[in-house]
Amino acid sequence: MSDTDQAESPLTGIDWSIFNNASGVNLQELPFQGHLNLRGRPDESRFTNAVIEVLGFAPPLRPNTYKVVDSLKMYWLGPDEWLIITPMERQADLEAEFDKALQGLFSSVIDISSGQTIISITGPDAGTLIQKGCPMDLHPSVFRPGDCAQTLLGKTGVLLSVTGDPPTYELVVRRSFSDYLGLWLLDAVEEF
Amino acid sequence: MPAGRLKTNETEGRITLSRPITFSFNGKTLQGYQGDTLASALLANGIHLVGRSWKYHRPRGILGSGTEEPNAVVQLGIGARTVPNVLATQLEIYEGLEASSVNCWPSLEHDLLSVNGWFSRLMPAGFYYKTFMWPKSMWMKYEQAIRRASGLGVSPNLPDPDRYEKTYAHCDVLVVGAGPAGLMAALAAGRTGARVILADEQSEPGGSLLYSRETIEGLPAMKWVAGVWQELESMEEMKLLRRSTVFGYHDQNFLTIAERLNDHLPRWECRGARERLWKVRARQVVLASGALERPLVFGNNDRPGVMLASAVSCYINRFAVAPGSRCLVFTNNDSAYGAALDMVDAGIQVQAVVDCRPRPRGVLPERLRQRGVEIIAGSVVVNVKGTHRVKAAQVMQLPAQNGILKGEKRLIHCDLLAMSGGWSPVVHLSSQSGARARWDDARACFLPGMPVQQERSAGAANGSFSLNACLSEGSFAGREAARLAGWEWDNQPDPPSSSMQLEEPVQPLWLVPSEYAPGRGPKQFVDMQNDVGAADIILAAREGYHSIEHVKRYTALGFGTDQGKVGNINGMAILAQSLGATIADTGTTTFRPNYTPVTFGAIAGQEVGEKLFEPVRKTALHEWHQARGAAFENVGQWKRPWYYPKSGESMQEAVNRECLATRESVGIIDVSTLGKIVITGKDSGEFLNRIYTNAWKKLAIDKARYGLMLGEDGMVMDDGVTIRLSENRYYMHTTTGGAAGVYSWMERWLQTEWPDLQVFLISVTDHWATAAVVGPNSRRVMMGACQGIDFSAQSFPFMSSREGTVGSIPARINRISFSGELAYEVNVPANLGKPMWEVLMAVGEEFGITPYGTETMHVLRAEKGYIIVGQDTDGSVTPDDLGMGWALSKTKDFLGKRSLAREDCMREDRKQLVGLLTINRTEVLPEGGQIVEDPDAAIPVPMIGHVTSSYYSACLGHSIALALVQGGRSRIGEIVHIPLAEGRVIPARISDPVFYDPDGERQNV
Repeated sequence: MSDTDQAESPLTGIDWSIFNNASGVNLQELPFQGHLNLRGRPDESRFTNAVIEVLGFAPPLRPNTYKVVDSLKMYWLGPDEWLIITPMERQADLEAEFDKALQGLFSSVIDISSGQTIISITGPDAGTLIQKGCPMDLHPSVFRPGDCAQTLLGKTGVLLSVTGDPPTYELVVRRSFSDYLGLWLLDAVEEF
Repeated sequence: MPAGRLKTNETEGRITLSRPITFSFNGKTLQGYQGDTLASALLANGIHLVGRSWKYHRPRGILGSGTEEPNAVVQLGIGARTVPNVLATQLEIYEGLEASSVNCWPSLEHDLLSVNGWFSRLMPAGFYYKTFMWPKSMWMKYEQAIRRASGLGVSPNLPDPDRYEKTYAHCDVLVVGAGPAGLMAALAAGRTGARVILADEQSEPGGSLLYSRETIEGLPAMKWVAGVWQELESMEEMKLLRRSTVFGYHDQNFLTIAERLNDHLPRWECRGARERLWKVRARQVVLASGALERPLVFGNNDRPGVMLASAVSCYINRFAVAPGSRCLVFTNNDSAYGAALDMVDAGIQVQAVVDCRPRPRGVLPERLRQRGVEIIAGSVVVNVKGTHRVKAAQVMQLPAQNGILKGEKRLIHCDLLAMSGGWSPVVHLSSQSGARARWDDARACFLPGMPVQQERSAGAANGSFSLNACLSEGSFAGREAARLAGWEWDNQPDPPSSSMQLEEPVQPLWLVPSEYAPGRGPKQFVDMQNDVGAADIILAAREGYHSIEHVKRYTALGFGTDQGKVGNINGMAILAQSLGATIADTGTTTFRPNYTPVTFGAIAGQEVGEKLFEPVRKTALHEWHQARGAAFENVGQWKRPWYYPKSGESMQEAVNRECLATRESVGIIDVSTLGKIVITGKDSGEFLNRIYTNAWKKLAIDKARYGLMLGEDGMVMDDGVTIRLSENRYYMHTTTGGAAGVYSWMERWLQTEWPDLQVFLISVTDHWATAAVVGPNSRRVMMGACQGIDFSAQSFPFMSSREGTVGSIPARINRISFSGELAYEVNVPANLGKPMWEVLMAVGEEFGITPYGTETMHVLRAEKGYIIVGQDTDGSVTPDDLGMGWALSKTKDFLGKRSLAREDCMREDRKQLVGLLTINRTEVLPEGGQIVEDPDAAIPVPMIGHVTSSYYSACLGHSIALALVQGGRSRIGEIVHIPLAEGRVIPARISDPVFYDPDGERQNV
């Protein structure tokens, strides 16, 4: 076995199974995704063209929204910042393609795949669970499919997004805070 | 059935006779029914005496029937779950409940401290301030005794075993209170489709309707409530919270609610959390919090058996309890006549109604007259006879003009005295929201002031006391609130109407005139919980206290768990009278959250203990360290290995071993926690030039440089090594604790001051796992572990960086050192941190590679005189103070540069970083120890500096320390002294801060 096969996701130590199935909430880590941080100026057409060239679609420009195209998910994080989630096997290629396409532009693409992880939360009580620790209004009429937000859950920052009906939530959390967040979720889910 | 229980069929009242409940009070086993509060069950058992007051230890009974109760405060349960200061009037009984009285010893009936009452004339307002302040040094002793004698109950001294939940919530309309106004508001708002939260503190909705005999739309009030409740429950966006007190109204329409989930259940039926704290952001708020009845202030008005008239109605109608058999009613308004009618209908003998108004002629008085009850008009109750229970009351005619009462005293026998001094709207939440309560003369009460937030009051909370007004105002308020939140519905039906009759106006009666001078007659209590009498307030005014806020603090008026809910308005009015001012001028004290006491558990929620109080940040190698038996140290939120003790090793032995192994062969440390920021863009070099004190533009690709970062004040704020990765990209290390602050600091400059610079910052701290391999054998370990890198000194020199692999893992290796040894820092994506570490450990085995923690890291760097920002600096230290003037560029500008030219930064006697060598080589100085020249100097001994870092260096066989000492660099060789708290003084010699390898040869090999 090579050393790279021994990769460990941030939440490797958390056992979700005790709560899943029996309760109104299902928690799951989506480990080993490619996470690329993309910076650039959307008012520079060469930049947006480069994004379209590499990804096949334009970056989301409306604040606090994301786009999903096939296996790619692209979050708006700021006026000049995005997060791209890709299957791990495409991450290196995408990074290389971006490096090439963005050459000479004021922009950057940085691999942060090991720096964060994703937790997916589904089930009828998913929203109620997150609302316990998240000060934002998560009502389906307010936080709608396609929306994302950089907010708090418990005492840690997360990138929260929602899809579908009934809503399914995804949390992107920094690696070093993920163990805390896992414990927080396991505690908070107890009542469901 | 106990004697006090009225004969009633099961559909009347709110208790369930088929469900008896056994509980105990002061050790005595008693019976009540499902639906009882402790107060109603006690009264049903003929128990009026439930506690003692806190100052005079006077016997006290049950005054009210809800949240306003000042007297019936009990201790609930025992052990870890005991709760002090529970209101018997709010506590729902359950099977097995155990409650006891507070403030009495040895027993409720025979309280030794009631002698305080005999000397009460000697304990006026401000008694404690006046008596126990001299001599000042004794106050602590006095205070202990006073605290023991007073206080309301005891807190548990064991960890809280219960679970507490918290949640955020958002709504269009929050309705506070589920009485007639609140129900109508929720209904009107809910019908529009708005998101509504209705919170009510009682066990079931209805508010005053719970004990009303009125009809609404022809239905008995509670039947009507049940219909409304059903409709509310069917609404999808309606959240109904029972047993939930809205206790705080904060800025931006943020309100806090304590929901009690389990307190009404026997232990074995409790499930889940005990309480839930709701943190609600509401677009609009309807305050339908009702009104509280005021007591009247007359002699011995605190005796058990003296009750609020509305409470008497409540016990009769809601709980089917007769609080007495012969009652005297004392009032200044019509509502008490309703209570009198309730009593007559329940078979309680009403001796008479004493009304201070000369000619009460309303519908209710008329009805009572028809029932043959005597109305003694233009008269007042001046005194109550009986100690543990009312026995009789003395009634006197009011004189035509104000003044001291004269004339006949009529004695009327009774075991219950129902009083009503009028009604005070619960303006607490409106006041908390910032609205200034305004006095209304006609209604003789404070009304909610002009809203400053998105709120409105309705019903009794708004001074509209009639049921019809409550229903229509509630409906209007709910509709209006929904409309302002963006919801409308055109088909709103008209609000329902009730059978309730109009009332005659109240006649204010703040202090019942007496035949005695103030303070001479029987005590007339204003604030019963704090034993504040009318005489205390009058005395305070005479002694020069004119502000209600000062009088409150001088007399304790409105302190305590009830916060003066029933007593405050009377107290303010009596002060106004004493000052010859109006109540409007005197004003109210400030209404602050919380409306009622809230448990610490609800506020803390689950954010307690090791796991959840504060996030614990872990590196990818945490589990490895744990398995290796590491002791951990908190560094900011991070857990870092502190040292790795082998079995039987002390901390010092472990650190000595780790230090020697690293200096002699090779050690390894997890440095993943260091902040890592990618700086990219064509102006990155210029940016670094401005952020750091030294020059960056000439740094070659793959080379590293140490940087010092200053605040605008010129003081050191961070340091670290930055590597140039490519033409326009750098990789910055920050201190572990400084990472987030440095990132924000740099973003701030980029975004606000230097938007012209083309620079992006990306935090990559969490992406990389980093191991530092340190020591003379580190090169051999790296050569064994890595592929694709030439580790020879010529091709991979100190302060440079290479890419390669560790095992098969792609890695960036930086040859930098924080120990003065030959050292390499290996960076890999954190998912591969553990296999990387294991490769290094396996290869290092033949060299005895030794994992070490932060303590050894500190010793190694201190031996070299390397600073740690935040330990050897404290925000008041310049680079020159640290002897790091070499890091300051003379040829370019940088943040903080100008501040360094300030006169104060150039003083020669500034504290400078030096080393200290103790004269006794094994004695380790305490960090933070103060440094003096002459320990025998007269006090205050001049202090010339302090110890910042101190360790035993196994490598040098000597205790070493770093210190900041005034003019330190010119004192090298001098002996100074560090006095200890225990009295001993440790001498040490000032030295150069570099103790080891001063020429820096080891790291360059």
